[in-house]
Amino acid sequence: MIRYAPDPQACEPEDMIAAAQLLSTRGRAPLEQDLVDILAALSRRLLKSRLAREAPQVAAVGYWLRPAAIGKLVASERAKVGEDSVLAPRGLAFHLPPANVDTLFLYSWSMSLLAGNANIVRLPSKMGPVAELVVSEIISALAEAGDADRHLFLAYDHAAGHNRAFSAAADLRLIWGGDRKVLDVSRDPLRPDGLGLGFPDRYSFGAIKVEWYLAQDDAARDALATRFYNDTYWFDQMGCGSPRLLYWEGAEDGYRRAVSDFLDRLERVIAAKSYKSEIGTAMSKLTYASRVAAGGTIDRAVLRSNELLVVEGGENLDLRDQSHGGGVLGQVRISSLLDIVLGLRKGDQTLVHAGFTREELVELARAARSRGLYRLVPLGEALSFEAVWDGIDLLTHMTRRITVRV
Amino acid sequence: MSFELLLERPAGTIAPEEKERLLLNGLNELTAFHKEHSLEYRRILSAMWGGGEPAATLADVPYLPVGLFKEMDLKSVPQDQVKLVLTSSGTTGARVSRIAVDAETSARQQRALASTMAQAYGPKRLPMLLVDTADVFKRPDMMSARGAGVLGMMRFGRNHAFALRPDLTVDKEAVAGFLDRFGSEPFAIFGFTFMVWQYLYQPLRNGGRDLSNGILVHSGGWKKLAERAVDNDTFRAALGAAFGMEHIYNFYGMVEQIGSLFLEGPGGLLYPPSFSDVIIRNPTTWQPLPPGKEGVIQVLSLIPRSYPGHSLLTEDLGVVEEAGPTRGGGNAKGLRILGRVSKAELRGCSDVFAAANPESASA
Repeated sequence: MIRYAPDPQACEPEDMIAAAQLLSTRGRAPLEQDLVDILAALSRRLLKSRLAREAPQVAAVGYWLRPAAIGKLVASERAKVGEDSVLAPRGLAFHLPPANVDTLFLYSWSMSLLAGNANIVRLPSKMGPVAELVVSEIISALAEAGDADRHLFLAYDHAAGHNRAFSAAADLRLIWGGDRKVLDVSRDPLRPDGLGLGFPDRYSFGAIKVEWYLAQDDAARDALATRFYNDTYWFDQMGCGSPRLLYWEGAEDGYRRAVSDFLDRLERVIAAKSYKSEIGTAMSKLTYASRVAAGGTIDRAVLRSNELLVVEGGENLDLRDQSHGGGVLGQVRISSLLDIVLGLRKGDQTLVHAGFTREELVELARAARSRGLYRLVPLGEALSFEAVWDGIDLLTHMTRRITVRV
Repeated sequence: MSFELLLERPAGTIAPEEKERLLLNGLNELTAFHKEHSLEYRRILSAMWGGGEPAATLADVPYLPVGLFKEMDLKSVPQDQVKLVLTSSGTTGARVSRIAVDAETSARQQRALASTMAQAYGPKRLPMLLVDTADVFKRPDMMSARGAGVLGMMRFGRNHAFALRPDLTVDKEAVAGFLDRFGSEPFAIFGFTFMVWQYLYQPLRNGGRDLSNGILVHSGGWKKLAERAVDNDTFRAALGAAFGMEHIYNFYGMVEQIGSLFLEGPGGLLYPPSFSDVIIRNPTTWQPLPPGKEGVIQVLSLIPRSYPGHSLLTEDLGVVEEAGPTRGGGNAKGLRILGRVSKAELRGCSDVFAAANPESASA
C-alpha cells in the first residue's frame, strides 16, 4: 500500500485501516469558511502550476474550485437547510474514483471536504503525472491548513481486499468507474447506516440542428468544432460524458452538407491540437467498424483518419458497446429531437446540444423522463463536472441533517 | 484455376506481372465468392469497401483486420461442411481466432504446405524429429495452432520421434535413439522457435550431439526470445555452434491465413509462396508502400475458401526488401518482420477488471 504524503511512501495497510476506523468521528461542521479557504488555496496552486498550462483538465479543475464558484455552491446548499435542521457531516467518506479520468477524484473529494467529512481516496495503482501533481498540491494545501491527518490518499491493488475494511469503517462510499466495478466493490458492505453511491457505465451523445449549423459563419463553425473536440477527445473519448454519436436534426441534403463541413473542421482541430491515435488504436477501430458493419445495423463506416472513425446509420444506430474510445463517432439524421426518445436507456447520461431552444430541450427532457438522460448541456460542456451528477445532488448526499423541533 | 496454376510454379519461376495477374484474378474471385456466401462479409464490403467490386490492382483488394476473427465467426460454407475449427494460440483468458475449415480449404492447405516444405526438406519424406510432445494434439476437432502445426508437419516426414516428454523436458533416449538410426543422413526437424530454443537447445547444448544433417524448420515469432535477447542471427549461431546445424528455415504464417507460409530464404528474408503475396501499408495513410519502407503487413492468399481470409491486415510490422533477380525475371520480394503493433488499450473506467485480467493495459 502506498500513501501520498505528499510524496508516495510505502505504508502498512493495518495502520491505515486502524486510522480509518477512527476517522468516522472526525467529521466537522459543513460549509465552514476555513474549508472554503482550503479549496481557494488549492485553486490558486493548481492554476499557477506548470501542469495547468499543459493539461487542460487541471486548469478546468482549478477554475472550478475558484472562491466565487465554491461560494455559490455553499450559499445554495445553505439555502436548502430549513430552520428546523442543523447541517452535519456524514463522517468518513471513502472514494473510489475511475482509472480513466485522472482529475475526477478531485471533484468528489473537494465536495466531501466542503461537506465536513474526513476522507479516504483510493487512487489507481498506476497514476499519471497529472494525477500525481494534483494529489501533491491537495496534500500541500491541507498541510498548510493543518488538516492533513483527516484525509488519506492511498494506492493499492483492488484485489488485496482492503476495500472491505475501509468500507466497513465508512459512513459514505462513492464508487466511480463502470458497472463491473460498482458491482464488485458493492459486495463489501458498508455500515448498516452508511450511504453508498455508484456511478456506473454511462453513454453520451450530441445533437445539432442542421438549419442552425448551416446559418453559422466560418468562425462560429470552427468554434463549434473546437468545443466538440474538447468534449470528445479529452480523456480519449472515455469519459462518461464523452459524446459517442451525433444526431443531426434536419432534412437530408442539408444534413449531408452540414456533416461533411463539420467533420472537415473537426479534423483540422484534431490536427491543430496534434492529437494522435496509436497505430494499435486505429487498427482496433477498423476491427470495431468491421464487426459493427457485419451486424447489419449501420450504413457506412469510414476511417477518415487514424484519429476519427465515422459510423453512419439510422435512428436505431446503437454504439453503446463501443468501449475503446479514441475517436469513434456515430452520425445519424433525425427529423425531430423527440425521435431519440424511444432509443434511450437508463445508462444514457449527457446530451450536448447546439442550435436548439430551451423549449425544445425541456420537451425532450420531459419525454425522456421515464427512460434516461441526466443532463442536456451546451456542446463544449460534456465533461464539465457539476455538483448534481447523474441526477444525484452530491453535496446534499455528502452531508446529513439533524432535525431540531421544540 | 488461379490457385492451381500458381501452385505449380514455385516462387521465383514466374514473372511478377504474370503472378500479379493470376493472383488478382484469384483474389477477385474469392472476394465475389465470400460476398455471395457470407452475409457478414457482404455487409462489411457494403459499409466499408463500396460494395467490393473487382479490384484493379492487388492493393485495391478489400482487406479484413486479422483481429476480427477473434470477435466473430466468419464462414462462407454451411455449418455441416465445416470439417474443423482452428484456433490461434492465446494466453489464458485472451480471445482466440476461430477459423472454419472445409474439405476444399484443407486440401489446398495441404498441397500448399507440401510445396513449401519441399523447398526445405526436399522432395522425399525424411525421418522427422519433432521438438514437441505427442500430447500436443489431443482434440482433433478443435486444434490449437501448435497442435495443428505439429500434426500438419508430421505428414512431411516419417519415422517420427518426439523430442520432448509431456512435461516438456527433453527425452534424451528418444533423441539419441533417433540420431543413432537416422542422424548420419539428412533428416527433418520441426518445432516452434521458442520450443526449440528453450527445450532442445538449452538442455542439450553442451552434450556434444551432432545434428549437422538436420534440416530445421521453425516458426512462432521472436517475441518470447526477444525478451532473452535472442534474434535470428543469435539463434542460428547458437545452433550451429552446439549441434553443427546449418540448414535452418524460419517461416512466417498465421492461423488466420492457413497454408500460406513465407519460408526463410536468401538474405534471411521470408518469401511468399507463389499463391500468396504481401503488401506493406503506411500505418497513418494506409496506402501501400514500396520496398524498403516499413509499415503494417497485409497478406494475400488464394487458399481460404471456407472463410473470408484471403486478404488480411495483420498486427505485424515489417518491410519488403528486394533480394536480387529471379529465374522468372524481376527481383524476388522478401519480407522482414520488425515486430508487433502494440496493443494500445485506452484506459477504461474500470480498474477492477484490469486487476482480474492482468493482460489489459488499463491502470
